[in-house]
Amino acid sequence: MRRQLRWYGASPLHLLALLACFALAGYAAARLVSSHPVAVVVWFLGAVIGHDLLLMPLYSLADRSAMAAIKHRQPQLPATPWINYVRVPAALSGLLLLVWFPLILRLQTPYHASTTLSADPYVWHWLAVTGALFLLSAVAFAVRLRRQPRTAPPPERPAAAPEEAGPDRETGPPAHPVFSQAGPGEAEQPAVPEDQDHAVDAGEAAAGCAVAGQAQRESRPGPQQEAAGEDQGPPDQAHHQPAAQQDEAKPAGEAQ
Amino acid sequence: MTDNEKPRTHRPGLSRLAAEARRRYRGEMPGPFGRSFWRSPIRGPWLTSVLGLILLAGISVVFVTGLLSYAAYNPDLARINDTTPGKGLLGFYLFSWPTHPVWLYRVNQGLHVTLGLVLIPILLAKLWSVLPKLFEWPPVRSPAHALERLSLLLLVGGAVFEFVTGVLNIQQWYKFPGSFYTLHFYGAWVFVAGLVVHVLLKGRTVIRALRSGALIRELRVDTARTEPESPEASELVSPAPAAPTISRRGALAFAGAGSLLVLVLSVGQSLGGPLRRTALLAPHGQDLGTGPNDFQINQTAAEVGVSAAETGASWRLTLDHAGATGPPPLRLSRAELLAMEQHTAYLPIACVEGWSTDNQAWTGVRLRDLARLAGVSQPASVLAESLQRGGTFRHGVLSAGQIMDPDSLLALRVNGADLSLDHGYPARVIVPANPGVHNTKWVANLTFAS
Repeated sequence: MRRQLRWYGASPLHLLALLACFALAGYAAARLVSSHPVAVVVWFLGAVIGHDLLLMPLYSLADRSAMAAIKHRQPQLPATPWINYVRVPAALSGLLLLVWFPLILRLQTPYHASTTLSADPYVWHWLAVTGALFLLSAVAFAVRLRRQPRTAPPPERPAAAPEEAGPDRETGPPAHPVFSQAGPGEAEQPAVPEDQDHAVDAGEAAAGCAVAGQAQRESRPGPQQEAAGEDQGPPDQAHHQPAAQQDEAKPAGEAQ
Repeated sequence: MTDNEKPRTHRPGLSRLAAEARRRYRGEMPGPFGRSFWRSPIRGPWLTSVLGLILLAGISVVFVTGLLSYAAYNPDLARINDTTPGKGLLGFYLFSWPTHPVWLYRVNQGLHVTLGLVLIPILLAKLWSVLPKLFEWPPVRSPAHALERLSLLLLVGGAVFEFVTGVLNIQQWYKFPGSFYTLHFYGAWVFVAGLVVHVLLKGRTVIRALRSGALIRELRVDTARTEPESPEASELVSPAPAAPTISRRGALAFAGAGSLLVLVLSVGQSLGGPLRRTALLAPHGQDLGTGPNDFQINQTAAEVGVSAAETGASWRLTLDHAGATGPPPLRLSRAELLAMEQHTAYLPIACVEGWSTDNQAWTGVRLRDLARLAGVSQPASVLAESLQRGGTFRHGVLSAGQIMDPDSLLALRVNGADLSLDHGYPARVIVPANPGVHNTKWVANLTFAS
């Protein structure tokens, strides 16, 4: 008996629970597939494949692409964490499309005949909600930028991790022992913007018109900044310069 | 210093990190089958447990309201009420559906559909949080592991199947293979079988994970201070985490924002009144107008082939009784029905699809008076048949309790006006707390059984 259990790999209760599960599922599944067996099985497995191997990789890829694309333009972007201000409205809009696509794309042909309602407004509603989400996100981002001091003179050097600052950022260290950059195919979790004392990680700190003032002093340096041994620059100074200018005037990072 | 010099200064760091990466990945499967492929620093038992608990609470409500909705059709009362005649033991809980409170079905279905929609972002987040498990290597470690993974196929497949069929059905995009009732009802049992065993097997893990990081404490952690859980704690935790771009509370807030958005944009179709127009993305979020017949319709006369000619002056209601003995069938014109004692009841229309209307003032003849007229003083049921040609619900059977309720009517008028053709002129059934499709429109025959 003990040998059989070791072969099975878990306790007898585990086996009992699973057998009960399969008994109930089998009883229901026999009825589920009774009318269109092949089509129902295709739908059931298609649900798993469609979500796990199609939808999720696609949105992960979209998130990665957005990160990569915006990181590519990092020098022109402000230091405040930006990705959540893009991924949140985009993901919420995508969610609405995912749920309501038959309505939005007017796929349910008897809709007007059944309800006497017009199917036309839904696509506009969706677009309007999408626009409102991006607008809200932009306003939240602007408010956040504004809250940071902008009047101080530029710092001696930009608060930038070396691999993010210059045109050679692609050749910089790709990973940190603890917090490495996300690999391909992996999505970062979408999130709502947080307006607490959000520490700026290396990518975020690299921005051309980065603000190195109070906000950064209050926050802890991101792990990559610690790794690079980089200072944030004089704490009470901020810079507000076009990227190109900054590039020639103040080389970044530990290269100095 | 020129740009060209920079890479050289990075090289020591780079080679050190590359060596580290080589060491870390040695002996690991390539791609998603290796644990290091998964980089999110917030994946781990804590986040999965919190999402799982929210989902468990929500899905329990959706499951129970779903079972109640099924009972509301009184499938045991008559063959034609039963959309799943082969249900067998799965109908073990059925009971005669009550007529009070009158908003019972309205609230039940609004809750079932709206909560179901609201759980979609939570479900997506939960599935995201456990995705590495799909690719775990080796795929099978023991017979126990193989069986458990099979039960997960039922769980995930069942969950997505249920949500997809439900979401498509409320938008009347009937692309699924077969009757919605069959698929959604039996699919729910397959899903719940997987869910129960999952809860049994993972319960202890959830409790341990939530104890390890008290909820409130974790909710105080911002992105910068977000740290991965110990990779030893669970296979969900990445051994090579990326820098966090979001905290765990941020991830929960994101999923919550998705739920809130879906809720705000759809709940109006169930709340009705001035809030209906807030349902910008819901099939019944538009107002029809302010007239007495301007409330939601889900099936028009034209759609089911009911013509004005059939419903005109020549229309007669045939009142009959089941069985050979008793008075001959009665044929009543609309004028004769209007001459009978009229009663007004304030009742909503509530659809299985989750939308509903406010209470409307229905006026007509009580069903129990019609039963007596048909010669059945103690009716056990009544079969109501419509003029409409096709459709599963061209006829329906009501129970004794539904017939005898003083608010159960064969309605002739609504809100002080004659019924419109699309609301069932010349006469329709309206019964408190009854699913919309059982409030038969364009009634031609009522056959009472004792």
